Parts: sequence; structure tokens; C-alpha cells
Amino acid sequence: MIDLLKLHWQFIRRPSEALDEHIPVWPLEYGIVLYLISYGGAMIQSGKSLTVISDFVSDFWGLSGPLFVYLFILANLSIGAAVQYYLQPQFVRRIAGMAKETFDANLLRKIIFFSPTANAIILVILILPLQIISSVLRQFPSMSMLTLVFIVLVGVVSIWLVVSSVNTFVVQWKGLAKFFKLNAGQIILAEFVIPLVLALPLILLYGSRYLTFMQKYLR
Amino acid sequence: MQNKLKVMLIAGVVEVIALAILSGANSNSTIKILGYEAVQLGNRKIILKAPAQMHLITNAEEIRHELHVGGDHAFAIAPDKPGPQMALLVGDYLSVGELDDLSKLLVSIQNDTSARIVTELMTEDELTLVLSPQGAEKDSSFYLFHRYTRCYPYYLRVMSGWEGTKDIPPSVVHALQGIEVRK
Repeated sequence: MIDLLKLHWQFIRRPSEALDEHIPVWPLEYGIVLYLISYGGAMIQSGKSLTVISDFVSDFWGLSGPLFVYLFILANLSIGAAVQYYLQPQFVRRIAGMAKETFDANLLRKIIFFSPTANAIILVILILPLQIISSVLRQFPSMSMLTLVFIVLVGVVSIWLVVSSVNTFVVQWKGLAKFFKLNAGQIILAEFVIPLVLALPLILLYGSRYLTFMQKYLR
Repeated sequence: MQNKLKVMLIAGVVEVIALAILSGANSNSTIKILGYEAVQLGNRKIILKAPAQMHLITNAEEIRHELHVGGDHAFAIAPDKPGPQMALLVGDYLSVGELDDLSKLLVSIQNDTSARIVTELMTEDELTLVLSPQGAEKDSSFYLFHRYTRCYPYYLRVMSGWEGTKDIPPSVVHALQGIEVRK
């Protein structure tokens, strides 16, 4: 566990070295599981986000119940993973101007899927276990003080999750610059502009409704 | 390091599944999961099932007409509107039948001076009553949320702020009569 926390710290403090040392040798499958744990775990661990997702699913599709909430989370993660697995290498290869033969698509996929490593480590080692303990304690009203302690602990540790999440972008940015020689403009194009253009039909279709939903929710 | 990462991945998958099961256990119905936030805060939550014969509001227009409010999703009731009136208004829709555990429920409310009642009438025949602490909701005044009418024609949510008092107005007690308490 200490080793994993050291690894977490390395990803935060020296993302370039972490990239060099680990990403090329770790299996891609680990990355995909890390990606799912990181984003899925983050969605599930927060009651607030579950409430928003639940309201969102019912407001947009008229579906209600925990089953649909979890299906929605799963569908989101799967679509996100599939887009990043299949489409991202296509953009990056074209932006970098590399030939198919010389372009290492799997290396790029590893960068994408291993980038939330720091995030996943802090979730798995600290936040999710604490959250599980507090969930169990909540079943026993007599343990309310202990429950409160665990809830506070989850809250405190979750602040660090914000740092780890920012690190996801840092690792991807450094990885794209280091292994694919992209400059800042090209990285912004690959990471933000192209995905935004691809999402444009969805934004046009659901954008105003989504804004209404958020206004309603935030009010 | 690879082996340690592998162990972490297995642990992570197990944890995520465990957490999903546990949050499912806290929320084995739609209504419960919408009240999840309050559960997360370590509060008590009681699911109330209204008797079959109780009168329910059937559409948004009827609610608007009854409560004299406008807009299309969330409304603040006039700030000077006293709480019990609002509760009674809800009570008008619910006040039939016998209430088995009302006394227990009210004792639990009274023991928690910071508690407010949040009721959510979500579906045709179910009502969730959530006790939440001050600050869990952003406004302590009486509110009627009638939102998502397309999905939940019966959604009615009332929050009342009884901060600073241990007394539950008798009219509220009356209003809550006729609700079968189910945990």
C-alpha cells in the first residue's frame, strides 16, 4: 500500500518520470480497469452526484430507479472508453502527421487510460474503503458519531482527489508532448477542440435542455 | 510494482461493486435514491406509503391552481406563508386512514432540533419523508417544488424549517395523519 501511495505521489509530483517508468511497461488492460475505477468510483462514492444523475436520468428519459442510474453510469463510461480507445488515436496520428506504421496507437491508449492512475490509487486506497465503512455504519443509528467521523474523513480525503483529477490532464498533456511531439496548440486541438466538434450535434440537440436542467437543479 | 497494481485493481473493482451494492441497499427504490443525499449525511429516512384510498394530485395544473403559484418547475411559496398551513395543504391530500408510527416519527423529529422535514411525493402512491439537518437544503423557508412534471406528475416536495423549536405544530401532526410508516 505504501508503494502504491508512493506511486500516487510520483504521478502527482513528477508525472514525466512516472510516464517514462511505468506507462510503457504496464499492460493496457490495467489502464482500462483503472479508468473505469477512477471515473466509476468517483461517481458512485458521492451521494450528491448520484442524486444529480438520478434526476438527470429521470428528467431526460423518464427512467427512474437505481438500476437505470447504474446503467447510465456504465453506458457513459463505456462510451467514453470506446471513443478514447478507437477515435483518439486517429486524431492524434493525423495531428502529429505520423504514418500508420510508425504510430504506436497502444502507447497513446496507455497514456489516456493510465492518466487517472493517481486519481484511482487515492480512491481505491483511501476514499472507497472509508466510504464503504461509513455506508455500513449508517445502517446502525447508534453509531452516528463514528459515522460522522468517517463522513468527515471522506470529505477531507476527497479534497486531495481534486488535485489527482487535475493531474489526469497534466499526465495526458505531458505524454502527448513527450511521445508524440505535439505542441500546445496541437494538444488543445486533440484533447478539447476535436472532441467538442464531435459532440456538437449532441450539444445542439440537448444543450438548451441540459442548461434548463442545471438551472433547475442549482436553483 | 505491476503485481501491486494488479492487487489494487482487483481491490478497486471489489470496492466499486461493494459500494454500488451498499448504495443500492440504501436506495432500493427510486424514491430512496433521490433521498440519498440525506442518507449520506447520516440522517434518518423513513419511507411512507400512503393508503390506497388517499387523494392524490394528478397533474401540475391542479397543484398550481390549489397553491396559487406560477412558473413551471420550482416555486417559493410566499415567504410569509406560515408553515402549518402548508403542511395542512399537503395534509388535505393525504389525511385519510390511520397512522401507525406517527408518534414514533414525531418523537424522532423532536429529538433532533435541527431537523427539518422534507417530504417527497414521488409516485402515485408513495411518499418519502426525509429528515435533514439545517443547511442540507439551501433554503429553510417553505418551498414547494413541483418539478419534472413530465416524469413525475405526482411529485410534490415540501420543506419546512422548524429551526429553534422542539414543538411540532399540532396542525402538522394532523396533516401527517393517515400515512402508514414503512421503513
